[in-house]
Amino acid sequence: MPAATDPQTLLTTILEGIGQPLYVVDRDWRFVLYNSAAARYFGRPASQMLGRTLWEALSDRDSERGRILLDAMVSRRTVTGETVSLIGGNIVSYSIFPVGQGLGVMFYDVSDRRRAEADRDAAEAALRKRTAELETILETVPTAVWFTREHDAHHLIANPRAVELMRMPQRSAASLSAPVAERPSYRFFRHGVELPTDSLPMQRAARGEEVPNEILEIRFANGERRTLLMRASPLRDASGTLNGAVCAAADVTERHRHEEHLRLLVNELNHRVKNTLAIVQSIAALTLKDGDAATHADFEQRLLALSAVHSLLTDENWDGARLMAVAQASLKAHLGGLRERISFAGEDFRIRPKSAVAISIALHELGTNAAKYGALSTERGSVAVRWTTGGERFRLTWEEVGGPPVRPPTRKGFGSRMIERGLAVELQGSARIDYRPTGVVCAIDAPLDAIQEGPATP
Amino acid sequence: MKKRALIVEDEVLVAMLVEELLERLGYEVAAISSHLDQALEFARTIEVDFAMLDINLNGKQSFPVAEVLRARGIPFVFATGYGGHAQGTELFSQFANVPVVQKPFSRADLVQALARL
Repeated sequence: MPAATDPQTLLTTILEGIGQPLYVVDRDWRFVLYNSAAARYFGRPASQMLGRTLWEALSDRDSERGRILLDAMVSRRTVTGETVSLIGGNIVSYSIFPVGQGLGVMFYDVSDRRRAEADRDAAEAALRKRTAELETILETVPTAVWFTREHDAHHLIANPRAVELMRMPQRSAASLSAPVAERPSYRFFRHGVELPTDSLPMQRAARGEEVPNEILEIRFANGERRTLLMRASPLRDASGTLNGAVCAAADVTERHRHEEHLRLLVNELNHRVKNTLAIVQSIAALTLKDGDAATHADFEQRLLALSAVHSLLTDENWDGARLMAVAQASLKAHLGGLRERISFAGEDFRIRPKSAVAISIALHELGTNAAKYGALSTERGSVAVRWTTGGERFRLTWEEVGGPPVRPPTRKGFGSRMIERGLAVELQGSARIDYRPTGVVCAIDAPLDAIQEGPATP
Repeated sequence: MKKRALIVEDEVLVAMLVEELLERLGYEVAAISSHLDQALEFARTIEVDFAMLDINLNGKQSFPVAEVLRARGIPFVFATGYGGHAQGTELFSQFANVPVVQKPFSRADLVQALARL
């Protein structure tokens, strides 16, 4: 660098180097300096400005800017502030300072910064509103909610319902993961087995696991127990980094107790029905003790078949039963030793309780007949039970092959009457027994929706 | 000599049927009880080879009788009108190896259960 620089070069270098618009006017408001940043800002080159007055070129005296400039010219003091720009309505930060007998004006555009600030203020206001809404929701929901900001979930922040539910002293409390001295005294159990702290929903979620609905029991130091439906989710920031977890719990103790009570009632009712069936069985056995053994056996088998389908239905709370299970249970008495000689084929689906009982009794009768006179009365005969559900119809066929030649019975017994009349009525369809010489064939045809277990029961 | 059986069953008619079945199968029925206290007394004192034990005796569970029998080394079969659900209970699980017949049961069911003793 030279030892001394020409003052004009120095000035020009500074004016251009500062990078912000800057101009100087003399005491008569004529431009004497006007840098290229100003030229860019106003869109007019220095050649158009130098020698003209400020009032001709940019502003009028009555504008806010005009008054500030006039005041500065009179007061001879440096004035700084922000104002709307002379062009474009931008916001500028200005500095007006005396230069000789005139004024220097330097400014820079702060519109972008102001807009960003306004946007940020609006975003903050929206966030405050959202936060207030969420807090109100947390205060209002009948569900216990708590969250942690720690991977190890040492401390929990709870909503009022959670404070109440967990008997926590305040909104923020230590969890079971906390050091022993701070740890609360309640414990969690699943199916009567205490859960290790690591397996609790909150602790699992804090490690990044999504924990779906889970029924847990919480036991307090005073012996009280509550049943909770719990679920938990990890909390992640925008980049996906794990930074805590949220856990929700609904107290389902009463609902659970109610369900348990219902379950016990159904069990008790089933027990009584089973006992009654056993009493009926006993009465028949004791009454027919010296009577016809074959009649007694038929009766007892019918009673046991009814009992078997009853058991299936009870296991399903009388909501319905699977057809395959019903078919197999009703032929249980005949399956002993003949397992591979009775085949079942058809798509398994749930049928209504009444249909289950009717189909079960019918199959039992067919099985009894086959065991006495038909395919199951010989060494080689077999039975195929098949069904289809196409075209909204339920079609089941019982087909015997390999038995002795069949002759139609001279009079219809209980079994065939039960099937052709009783079953047809129960299933709102038809049932026909065909005594083919090659083997008995029974065809059942009924509307599928009459037997399929569905949401609407007329 | 015939094997001797104890029948614990609160339904008299069912007890009579079980007695009939057991006698036809060649056993001797040593005693029948329908009450928990009496059944406990029998279980402690009577010399029998096996027992048929109804789980529900007028609303009381007969597991105490089962415990006495087990302590004396007398095998037994549970009879129950409860379905599969009730067998998940804690008390029941202590007797996981004991054969169970569901009421009403057939002669074949009984023979099968006795074969497992």
